[in-house]
Parts: sequence; structure tokens; C-alpha cells
Amino acid sequence: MTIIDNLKAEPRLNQVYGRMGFKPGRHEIPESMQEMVDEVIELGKKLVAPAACYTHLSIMTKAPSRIEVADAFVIESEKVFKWIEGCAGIYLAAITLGPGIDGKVAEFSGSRDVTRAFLLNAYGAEAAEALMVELNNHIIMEAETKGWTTTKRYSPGYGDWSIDGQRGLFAVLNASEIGIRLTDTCIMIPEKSISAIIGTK
Amino acid sequence: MITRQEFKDRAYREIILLDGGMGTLLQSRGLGIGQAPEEFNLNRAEVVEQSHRDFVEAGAQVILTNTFGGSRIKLDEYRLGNKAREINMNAVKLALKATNGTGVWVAGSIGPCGKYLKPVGKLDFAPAYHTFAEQVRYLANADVDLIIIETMSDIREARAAMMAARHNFDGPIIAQMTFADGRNTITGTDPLTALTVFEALEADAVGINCSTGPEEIYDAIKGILTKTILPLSVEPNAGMPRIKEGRTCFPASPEHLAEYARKFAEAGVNLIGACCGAGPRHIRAMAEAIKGIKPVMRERDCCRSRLASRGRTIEICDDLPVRMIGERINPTGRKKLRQELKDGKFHLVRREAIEQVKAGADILDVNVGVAGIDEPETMRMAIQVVQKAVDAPISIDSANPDALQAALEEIEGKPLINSVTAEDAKLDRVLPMAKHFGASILGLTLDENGIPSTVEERLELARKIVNRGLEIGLRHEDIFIDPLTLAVGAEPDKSLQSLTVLRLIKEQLGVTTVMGVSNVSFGLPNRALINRTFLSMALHNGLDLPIVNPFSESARQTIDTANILLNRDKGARVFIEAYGGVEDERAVAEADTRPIEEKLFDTILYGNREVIIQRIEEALDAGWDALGLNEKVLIPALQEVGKRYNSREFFLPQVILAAETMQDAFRRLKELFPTTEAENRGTIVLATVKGDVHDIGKNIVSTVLQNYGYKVIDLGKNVDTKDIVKIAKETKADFVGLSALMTTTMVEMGRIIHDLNEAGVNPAVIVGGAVVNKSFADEIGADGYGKDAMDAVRIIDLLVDGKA
Repeated sequence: MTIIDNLKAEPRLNQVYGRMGFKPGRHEIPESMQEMVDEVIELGKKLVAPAACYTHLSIMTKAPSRIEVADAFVIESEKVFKWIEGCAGIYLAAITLGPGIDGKVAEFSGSRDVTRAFLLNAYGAEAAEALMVELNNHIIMEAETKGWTTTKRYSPGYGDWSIDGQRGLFAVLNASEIGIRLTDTCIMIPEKSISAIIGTK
Repeated sequence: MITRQEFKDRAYREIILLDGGMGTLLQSRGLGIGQAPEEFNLNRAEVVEQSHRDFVEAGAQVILTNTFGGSRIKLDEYRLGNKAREINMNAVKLALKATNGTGVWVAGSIGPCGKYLKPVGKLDFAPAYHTFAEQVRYLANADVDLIIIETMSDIREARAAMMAARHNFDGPIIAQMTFADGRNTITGTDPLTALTVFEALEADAVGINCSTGPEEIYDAIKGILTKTILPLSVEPNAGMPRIKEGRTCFPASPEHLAEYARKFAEAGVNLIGACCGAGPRHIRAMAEAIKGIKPVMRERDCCRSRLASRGRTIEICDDLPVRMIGERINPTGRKKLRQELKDGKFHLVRREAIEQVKAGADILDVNVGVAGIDEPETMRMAIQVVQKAVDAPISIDSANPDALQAALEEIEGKPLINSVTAEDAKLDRVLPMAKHFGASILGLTLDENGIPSTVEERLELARKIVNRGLEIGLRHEDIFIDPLTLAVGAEPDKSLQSLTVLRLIKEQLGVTTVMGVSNVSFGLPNRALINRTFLSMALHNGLDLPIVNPFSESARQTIDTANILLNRDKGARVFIEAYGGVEDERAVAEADTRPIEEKLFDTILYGNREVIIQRIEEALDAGWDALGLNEKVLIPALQEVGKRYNSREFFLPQVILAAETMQDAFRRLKELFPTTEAENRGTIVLATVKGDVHDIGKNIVSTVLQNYGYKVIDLGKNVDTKDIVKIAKETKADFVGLSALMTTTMVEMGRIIHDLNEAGVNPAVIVGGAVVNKSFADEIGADGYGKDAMDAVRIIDLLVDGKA
């Protein structure tokens, strides 16, 4: 498994604004909220501690829906199967922003500052997404050096792949080394984490 | 060494010519690029000495030692830090040799240490101070006539150097900064602020050097000619440097500098020299040009006192509008601020700083007095936060000498120390601090025995403070007095007495006066009316600096009006700007003379949490009762929020913010409601289901619902099913609201509905969350599905009205 900690979690502003519930695609925040939004974004930037990890494994596929990654990680999903058709290998990847944002969001909520909690949470969601995109790009580049092409990324809970798929993924990918753990209900802690698979041909 | 008086006498009697640029001269005489000029003091002494001689022969009457970069921190860049002593002492020796028998003065030169102080850079105040103090001691021991601090661009570093010089050297000190474009240093300090800080730290002359060419310096120095009677100095570069064939060239000819030397002298500058690129030829031409010109006797303008931040000087003057001290950064009676300070947080401090300045405060009082905290450290942090947030002078409000010390080290400009009483022990402790750090001091007319009962005694205490301050060497303009106010309800004769004392302090002592007015109304109804009436009386009796709540409309209006009536607002310029302009509707709106209910409506609508409580108080003062206010103003405002959200004019964060603002208001009003009259449309138990830890959405629903008259019992996140059932049963809940964000956890909702039915409780169940939809809600038998918080309100309202 490879761990990288120098990737950036820098979301685009208009995406952050969109996630915060302002009109997406436009840099337009109501005057009365601009200062608070700026303040929360600055705070968010300080709270993130990006970390990422990934590994590559070869896979066996059995029509119509079975993908065997390892003994502990078998995916049963027709959609994933179709999407990964022709792939001989798979990247397992995960990123996290660390516990900073979660903690501060909880603190805001607890001190009757739900607005800031909401805004910061939105920032975190976009920052995590941006970090995952960075990791994905990194993986694409690495794959190219090996002569592989890559599929788009796919995560447990998408389509007909149950979110329970997290268990298998985390059994193989040791994401606890970058501080991610899974609850019984397959929720990643810290909340601002993303896991995914990427197929290689 | 010469005395400070000798220096001053000569500077007022004749124009004194300084020398030119040593660094550039040494470069033309063999100094390599990347080599420390000061190293020449050790290994090329003859070149340094000859350079001094050349300037002396050219006519310089003061030459500067080759120690510009001679502080240990700067020398360390060249691994010469351990030779600091030799380098500085040798430099003085060479200069003294070159001037021997000529009567030319030797000035020990001190330049920046090469590292910026916080917050611009990383260096703390103390090490900067100590490195300069060390250099000053070497120069002083080697017997320089005076010290010159040059080319400073950061006011905190300049302050450290000036303090170090003043505390370690008894002779004259010239203090200069460099202004990138003639208007500001690269870190944002203007010439008037530099003057204000240096003057307070007892510089003997203040000036400008390096910068660009003489043209820009001429413009900059003109701006402060009438602001001081101290001698002023300039040392311009020989024009803006240019790179020509790989070498730095200074384009200004000796004739050009000479022409400006004459201009400077005629304008009122007392000490004239030159900086980079100016050699002995330039100095010779300048000596020729100023021959026979006598210094102009400058007069200082009306300004009585000044305070400064990094880039802003506040002048306090009978001819200028009254300045406001903002009182809001003070934890007394403010629970949230107290808690934040206890937790070491400064969010509110920052917000208060920004908002107060926006509302018109000129100076910010900073008080962090909370029992059980490390006050010095908290004060240090608070000062940093405020200085970073706004550019306004600070009034350091503490009775703790260690906290004062910490704040004074952190300060970027010239602060006010608030405060010292007339007790001897206090005066002995605090007055020297003001002198040491170049601060103004606020004296209170009380002593061990409290506030005296007669006008004469109170005035006597004021006189004692002023005299003691003058005795230890504070300047008259840096001593402020607060005659104090008492509650007129408790002591009916004391308000009039305070006004009399105020007038007498002004007449007999002539110092700047400060007073907080809000105490006067304590214990009486309609406090705002009493406060503003007393404020206008105090302003008429000579109050210069009222301490007020800048958000108070009535205080601001009173001050604005008094400014015209007392002829402090010339041509009513400020007043007209604030209240006039019939064609400018926006200005009228900003002056905000609308009835309180309209203002309150907007406060909810735009979610201005900072002022909501104050607006509520204003409305209550104006005669509104709690229930009426809630029904006629607050609820309609919230309905407007909903309307705007539905028409996509408002976005979700605005809804949440308005809801929270409403809750703040409601919490205050609830204290006044007869309990039975508070509306309760139903009880709702809210929870994020077991296994799920996402609660942002549920928290928003909770906040919004509370404002619509529902009693919300929020159980939090990851709540066990049986707890939800139990609480719903116990509280006879009308509704249960469930939230889940994951496919793995939303199934729990079905179980809860099942268990509620089993237990025989039948609240209506509303579900929501990212993966939940209407069909899922129907499938599990929920009574409703809300896609967001506003939708939840709509559905619950429908159900309630349907039931009713």
C-alpha cells in the first residue's frame, strides 16, 4: 500500500458555494453572509490534514456479477461488473481530511451555531471530493507509466453495490494507517473520507 | 556624546547636513556583492575611514558609522554575529578618527535586523529588542554623539529599535522609516503614525530616508511638517535605483539632490542628508545649496493627543469630531465572550473588533478580565487578534500589570493604557510602563478611599495624576483623565458633579478627557434616553473620548449632532454625509432612523446575530411587550424568510442564520412571557437513527422548527431505537422526526415506526435525509417526508392544522 500526504484538498470556490446551498456555478453570496462564508472557508483550510492511500491488485471476474479481489473482498454487483468489464486489475483507494473538520462542525452545532456548522460541513465535503480527484489523477499517472488505462472511479453505495461493500474494501486496504475506521454501519470515521475503486486494463 | 538639549538647540539654529550613502560608496571601493559592509570595519578599516573623511571634507556635519547592518541578528546572516561587539566598536573608532578635531558629530547607525517581527514575520518582540539594545550599548560605549535609526519599514521593529535605543542611550536619537511610495511603508504604516510612535518614545528627531528619490520624500515630509515641533530629518536616495549593465545605478545628479536640499530646508526640515547612491560629490553640492538658510520655526497644529495602530493615527482635537472608544470587547456581563476567553478562543473578540470599527468606533477598548484565566497570555492573544482584524488604536483595559506588559509588547502603534487610579502604589507601577512603552495613560479620579465626595477632591486627584505623570517624564498630551460616572438613580447629585469635574479638568488641567456614560442610567427605565442626554451634556462640558457601545444608534446620533453644535464638524461635512443626501437613498437607510420594529424585522431577515439582543432591548425600551413583538415583528420576519426561500431569492444558509437569530431573540423574550401564553403548537422528538452519525441536517430542522412554535426535544445522533420510543412515550410527543443519511441506516426508520406502534404510541413520524425519498417513506409507513427543513415545517404545519 502506498501512502501519500502531500496531495492538496483545494476545492474550487464555486463548487463550495454550490454545496453550501448558494446558487451553484455563480460567485454570488448574499452580502449579509459573505463575511461568514469567507471566515468559514479560511477556517476549513486550516482544519484539513489531507492523507491518501491506495494499492493495486489483480482481479478475477465471473459473469454476470461477481468480482473477486481477494478472499475477503468479493463484489457482487451487476453494475460494477459491467463497468469493470475487461479489467485485469483494480486500484483500491481512500482519502481523508482527518478529524479536524468533524470536530469543529460538532463544536459549532453544540454552541448553537448551526449556520457555521452547515457551511463548514459543506466546505469539508467539497474539500474531500477535491482530494479524491487529486488522488485519482495521481493514480492515472502511475497507471500510465505501467501501460494501463484506467476506468472512472466507483464507490461502495453507488448503484446496486451495497454500502456493505466497504467492509471488503477496508479488509484489503489498510486505511487505518491514514486514520480511517469503519463503523458497524459502514460509515467512515472521520466523516470527511472517501473510498473508491478504479479498474485498470 | 552630546546632550539632547545641545542637539535640539543646534537643529533649531541651523540646518544640519548629514552624510551620504556608505554602502554604495564602499561598493565602489571594493566591497563585493554578498559581503557585509560592516566586515570592512575589521579588515578594510582604511577604506571605511577614508570614506568618512571624504564626507567630512565634502561638508557633512554629522557622519553615520558603518553599522547599518550591525545588529547581531543581521550579522548572523554573514556568520559575523559573534563579532558584533568588535564590528560596532571599531566602526565608531574609525568615524571618531576621521572627525577628530573637526567638530563633526558621529551618529551610530542602526538599520533593520533583516527579519520581520510578528505578524508580518516570525520574530518576537523581545529578541528584536534585545539585539538592538546590544548594538546600542556597543555604540554608546564607543562614545557616539548620537544614534540614528534608519530605513525601518515595520513599525513594530522600529518601535523595538527606538525603545532599545532610548533605554540604553542618554543622548539624542534620530528615528527614521522608509516609505515605499512616499505614502506608506511596505507594511502599511504612514508617516504620521511613524511620527506618533517615535515621538511618544522620546525620539529627538523624526524623519524619512532611503525610499525612492527626493521627490516622494518631499511629498511625505510635507504631510507631517505641522504635526510636530521636533526637528525633522530626511535622507533621500540619489533617485530610484536602476540596473545598468549589471550594476545598480542611482540616476540623481549632485545638482538634483542639491536643489532638493534647498527645498527641504525652506520647507522646514532641520537635518538633511542622503542615502543610497549619494557620494561625497552629492554632499558637497548639498552643502553649497543650503548655505545661509535658517531653519523654519514650524508650528504644531491644534491636535492635542494622538493614538495609533499600525497604519492609522487618531487625532484628538477640539476642532475635530469627537472620537469614540468602542467598549464591546469586555466579558463583564457577557456570558458567551467569557466562555470563549476561558476556552482560549477569540472568535467573538475578532468579530466585535470588526463590527465596532464598521459601526464607527475609532479606538477599541480591549478587556479580557475573566476570573481563573491566564490574563497576560489571553491579553496578548486578544491584542494580536484585534490588530490583525482591524486598523484601529487600542485601549488596553486591565488592572493587572503583567497583562498590561504583555499587551504593550504586542502593540504595533501607540496605545492607551486603561487605567491607573490615583493610588501611589499604582501610579509608581503603571506610569513608568507608559513611559517605557510610549503609551498614553488614562487616570481615574479615585484612590484607596474610592471616589471622593466633592468636586474639589476629585479634581485634586486628577491634578495629582497629571503632576505625577509629568514628573516621571510623560508628555502632557499623553495623560488622559476619566472623572467617572455614578448611577444617578442611586446618587442623585453625582451626575452633575461629574459634569462639573469634567469641565474643571478641561479648564484647569487642559488634558484629554475620557468617560463611559452608560453607568449613569443604572437602575432606571429607558436607559438609552438617559444615556444619550447625559452624553450630550458631557460632550458640552469637555468630554473628548466617550466610551460607548458603537452599535447604539442613539449614542452615535448624539455624537454626530454634538459635533456640529460644538463646531467640531466643520461645515457639517460628517453629519451631512451620514444623514443628508436626499438623492442618495442608501445613505438614509444606513443612518437608519427607521422605527425599531422595522430595524428588528431586518435584523431577523438578514440574520444579524451580533445586534439582535440589542435591538430587542431597544424595542422593549421603546414600549413593545414581548408577546406583541414576537407576533407582530419576529414571526412575520421569519415568514418573509420562508417566502424568499421558496421563491429562490434566499438560500439555505440564510434560512438557518435567520432561524438562529430568531432563537436568540426568542430566548430573551421567553424570560418575559407568562409561561402559559407562550405558544406551543406541538412536541417533536428528533433524532438521527442508530448507527448513523450525520446530524447537520437534523440540527437545521431542529433550529427551524423551534421558531415555528414547536417544542423540540433533540435526542442527538446515533440514537437507540428503544430510547426514541421511550422518550416519545414519556413526552406524549405529537411528532417524531427521524434522520438518516445512509442506505445502511435508513432501514432503522422502519423498525422505529414498528416499535412505536408496538408500544402503543402513535405520534406522526416524519422522515428525511440524503437517501430517503417519498416512496421509501410510504413503504415504511411514515406519515410524511420532508426534503429539507422548510419542507418539514410545511408538512408538520399541515398535519397540525389538519388535526385541529
